[in-house]
Amino acid sequence: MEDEVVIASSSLEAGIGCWDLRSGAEHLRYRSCASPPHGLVSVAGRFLASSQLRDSSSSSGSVLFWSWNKPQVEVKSFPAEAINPLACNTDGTYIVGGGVSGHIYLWEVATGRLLKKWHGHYRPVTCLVFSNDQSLLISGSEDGTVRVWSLLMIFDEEGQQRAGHLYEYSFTGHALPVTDIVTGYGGSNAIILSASLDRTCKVWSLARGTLLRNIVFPSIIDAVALDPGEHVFYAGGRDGKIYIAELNAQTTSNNNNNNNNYGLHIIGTLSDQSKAICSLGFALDGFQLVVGSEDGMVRVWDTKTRNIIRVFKHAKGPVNNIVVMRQPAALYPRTAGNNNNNNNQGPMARRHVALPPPLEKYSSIDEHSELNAFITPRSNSYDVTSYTTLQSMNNQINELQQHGSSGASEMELERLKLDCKRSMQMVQQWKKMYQNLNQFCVGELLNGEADETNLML
Amino acid sequence: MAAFDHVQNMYDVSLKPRLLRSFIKELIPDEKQQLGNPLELSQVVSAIKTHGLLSERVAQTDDNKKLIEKWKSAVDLWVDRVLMLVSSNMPDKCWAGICLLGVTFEECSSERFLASYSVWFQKLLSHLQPPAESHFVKVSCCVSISDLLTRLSGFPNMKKDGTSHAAKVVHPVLKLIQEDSSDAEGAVGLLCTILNFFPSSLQKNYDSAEAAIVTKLIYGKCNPNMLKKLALCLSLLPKSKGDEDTWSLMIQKILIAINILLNDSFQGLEEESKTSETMRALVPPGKDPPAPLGGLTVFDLSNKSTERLSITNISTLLLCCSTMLTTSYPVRVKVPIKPLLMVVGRILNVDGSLPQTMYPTLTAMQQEHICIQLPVLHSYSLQILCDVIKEAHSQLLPHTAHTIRLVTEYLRTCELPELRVKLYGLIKMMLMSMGVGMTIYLAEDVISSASIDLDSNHGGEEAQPMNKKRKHENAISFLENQSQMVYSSKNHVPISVKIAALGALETLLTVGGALRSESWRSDVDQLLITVATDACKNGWAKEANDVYTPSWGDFQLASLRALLASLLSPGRFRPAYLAQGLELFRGGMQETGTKVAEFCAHALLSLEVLIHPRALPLIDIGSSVEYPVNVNGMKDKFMKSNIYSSVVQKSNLVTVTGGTSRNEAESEEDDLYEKWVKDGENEMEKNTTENVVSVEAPMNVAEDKGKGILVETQADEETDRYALKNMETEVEVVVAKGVSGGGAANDVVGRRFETVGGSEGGGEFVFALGDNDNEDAAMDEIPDIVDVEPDSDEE
Repeated sequence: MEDEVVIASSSLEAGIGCWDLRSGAEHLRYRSCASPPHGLVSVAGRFLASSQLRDSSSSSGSVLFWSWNKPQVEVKSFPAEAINPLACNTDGTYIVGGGVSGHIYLWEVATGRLLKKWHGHYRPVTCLVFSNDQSLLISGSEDGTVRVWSLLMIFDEEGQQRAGHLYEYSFTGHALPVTDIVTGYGGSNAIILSASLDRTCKVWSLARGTLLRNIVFPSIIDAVALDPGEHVFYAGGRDGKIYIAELNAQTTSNNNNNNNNYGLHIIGTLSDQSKAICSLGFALDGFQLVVGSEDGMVRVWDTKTRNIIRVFKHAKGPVNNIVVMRQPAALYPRTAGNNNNNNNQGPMARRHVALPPPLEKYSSIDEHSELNAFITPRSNSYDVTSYTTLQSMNNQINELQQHGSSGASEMELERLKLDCKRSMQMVQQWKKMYQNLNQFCVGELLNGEADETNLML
Repeated sequence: MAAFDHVQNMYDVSLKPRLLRSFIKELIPDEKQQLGNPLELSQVVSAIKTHGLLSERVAQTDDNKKLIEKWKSAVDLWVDRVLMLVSSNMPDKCWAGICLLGVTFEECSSERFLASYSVWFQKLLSHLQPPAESHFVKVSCCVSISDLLTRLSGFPNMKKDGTSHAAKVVHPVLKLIQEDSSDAEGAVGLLCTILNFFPSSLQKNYDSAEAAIVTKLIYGKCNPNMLKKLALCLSLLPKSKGDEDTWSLMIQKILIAINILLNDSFQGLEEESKTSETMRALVPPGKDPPAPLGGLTVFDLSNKSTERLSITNISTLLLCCSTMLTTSYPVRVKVPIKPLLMVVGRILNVDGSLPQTMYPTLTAMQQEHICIQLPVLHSYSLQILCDVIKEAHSQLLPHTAHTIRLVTEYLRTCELPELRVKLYGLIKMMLMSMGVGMTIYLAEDVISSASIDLDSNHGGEEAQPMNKKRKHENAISFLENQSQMVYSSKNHVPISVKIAALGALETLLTVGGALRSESWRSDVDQLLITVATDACKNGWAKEANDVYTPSWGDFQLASLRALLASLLSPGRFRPAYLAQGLELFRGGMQETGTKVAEFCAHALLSLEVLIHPRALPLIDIGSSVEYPVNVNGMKDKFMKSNIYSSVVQKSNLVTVTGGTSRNEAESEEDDLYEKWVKDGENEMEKNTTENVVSVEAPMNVAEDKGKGILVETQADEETDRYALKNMETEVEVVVAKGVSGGGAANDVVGRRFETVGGSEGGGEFVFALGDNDNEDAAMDEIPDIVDVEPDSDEE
């Protein structure tokens, strides 16, 4: 099984913690990061990026990049305004940020250029998520709306004019700011799950653009996570409980004995009497739920047995971002226990990956600027080295055989004979013509002379 | 050797040296002998390869010592003999020696190779410098050296040696390429090998190599195979410097050359503005254009060639572009997407027609020439589009709108089958790479053009089954039919195009069948079932042996694939043609041993999930630990009885006697069970007698609450809904609204289904419905289980 790491950041300046999910060993702690909710992303496993909480006095925002093997901030960018949520597509080609003014920014990672900026919401953007196939972007805002954008449309000015508006859908069901959004599987038939300060979670259908289900919780929900089978979802409440709400679940006995006072569609909770839940994330196996809490702890629940199986201590402040991902090759494991793992990755693990340039503050794109794509080198390890002598030899033998066959040479001989005959005829013809010409000229000359002599006389 | 010294069997290692010796003795000529039939050589080589006669691979034990010695001396003898042949004066013997040496490079042991490769290399080099007389000798020499370098590249610590050796051949190889002869074939192959494995050996000769390759490409009059090799060579050339700029410069040069040639060829066929526009994208204003490709000036490129030739050159250069995009390069490179798209757009825009606004400046003959060559250019341009999409992937986003416009416009005008096939392939790729967002854009165009391509299916020679109908039909109407058919077969579309169109529709449904599809979904579904039924109604075609030309069987397979996508693609209703589809797949599965059968089995498996929807619980229910766990063991029992009782309930109700489940349930003797059963019976009584919506069964209400499949409810749904209302919604959701009369009974059926569906995979539901239908006369139709009416609780 591949190693997974849990990455967590907090709104207080406590850095970014990074742990091995299986062994519990802590890797590097990346310094000086105070992130807003949904402000921490791993850019295609190449490096970490996080937007930063700034004091209100500064006019520009701040987005920082860390490479995996250095604790210090490596690249600092200062966008035009404070950025809250960050998102990145799985290829790691674009970073999208949501500003406090409601604008959404789209940067090209390789060059740092600001490719697009558009007005997405009337109030600050709170969350940004890419759809599964990376062609749609879903944003949530403090104004309570959830909007679905087609990235193709964002870049197609002609199409925008035809459509009249930029978004594909605008869901206006929430009365208060949206706190979290996740999307499910199923491509065009996926569901979008949004949580809000209005104590509800709403399930939207991407295919139809309608509300499928509304679930009212006893507490404000700050984070949601979707069970990989979309059987239930987990909603982390401010009261410290993680509510389990059903999507496709079969109802269990809870509803029969009147123990369940939580409300419709809620079938249970995970709770250990801790403080408010700030962030949730699923491990790749789909069973381990990683929970960031206000008390600065990161707990790992096993959703099958509903027990806590591991606790990481992050900081004093609330853990408002959790990312669970495969251990990136560039992450150098510090602990001795991971030595074998280190050997597996060989030189790759130690190679320093150069980070891209900072993100632009204002767009430098005009009609003349080139928008290029980059082809990254692929490993040649799957290529099979091929030897060619045998094939070439057989071809030549074939050729030899063909030339040697009597039929072919007979034909060739016939052709040559005919050629020869034709040439001979030509020669004869030319000869004849030459003779004629000669005769004619001689005749002319003689005649001419005769004429001249006649004239003379 | 003793006459009766038998070996164990054909795997015996001691056989190998003996075989090798006898080959050398019998089939390989020595100084005095003549070379026999060359076919014998190929027999020797194939025996060497099958038996590994040169590998010298023996376990190093004491017993084997003698054998090792024996084998070693045999291989020594082989090498001596081959080298003798290589240095022979006779060209045929020399040729044979070179070929056998080439095989030796591949087959011999690593130790032997490392020990003597540089001697072998010198031997071969002597035939290239100065070049040998014989064509065969030169070619096979290049090929053998190429194999030597390939083998050498397998040893990581030999990089330096390899580079220095490769550098020695560069000059003679370039000379061979420059000479206008057919020797270049081997030389180009060797150059590719050098560029692949030891690129830095070409660093010093970069410019001359570029010039040699380009000259050969443009003036060489090469066959297509050779052109491909040369294009590969040119695209590998930047590797010798190995930096980003070299690559970018190369592709820029190629694009400029294409553009210049296009200016020439397309004069009078397109507006002048296009020309300068593309040039501006290639060379930004204020920047100096790079040195021309291969040192050939504009004058060289355009004036030396006739019209026909210049268009051939364009396609060659387009091939180079596409090869450059697809060959891997050691560093990250920048692809000039915009100029590429503009060049492609420029070519695809020209269809040979004269623009009406312009006074014709070219003769009919020139137009003819261009029209002959245009399809090739279009084909290469589409290939470049494919490569761009493949390589750039998500980075294409800023250019996608441009690409889409190019493709949709071309889709409307393109008529040649070959190009349409390619275009559909391209569309498929676009849909796959850019997902849902792309379907919104492309759906309309793809469907309309695919419908046209597939529609002619009714006409043409495929319409055989008419004969069967004749008996039942009026003769006149039959004749009419036929005449119509003859008419419609005029726009006969080749099978390959239809297969491609089906592929595009399949991808469309796969990627975005649910989003904004209301307007076209039903039409497409109908089209696909019609096509599939028509394709398969005359039985199953035999599988063709020919891989290249698509057969009727391929068409059947494609139609079934598209049909499966149409059935599986998410929709709001049960797929209208589910039954017909299942029938087709069942039929296809009988054709054991064919691809169709394989696919139909897969289709039936996938459709099973559609028929028995699963919402499997996270954990095995028997071992589940529920919240909160209060009483030891009690819980487990309760769970079980709950599930079983629900099954029993159903069987009570509809008398589908699930005997086993009932027995099991009974073995689980328990108050709860009794209660459940009683409850169910009670309810049934109520239902049948009073025929009203039962709300009094609190247990059932609770059970149903929030069950199962996620369905649409009102957007303005009140947050504090009562249990009753909820139950109604849930039930309505499952049972079709249209079913009148048996309201309560339906209710029960609906709920039972859910219970069973949740716990048992819904296996019995079909029976449940059917049986109930028979029993309950009030129910006049089978409720549509998938039809969801969100507004139902407003009534």
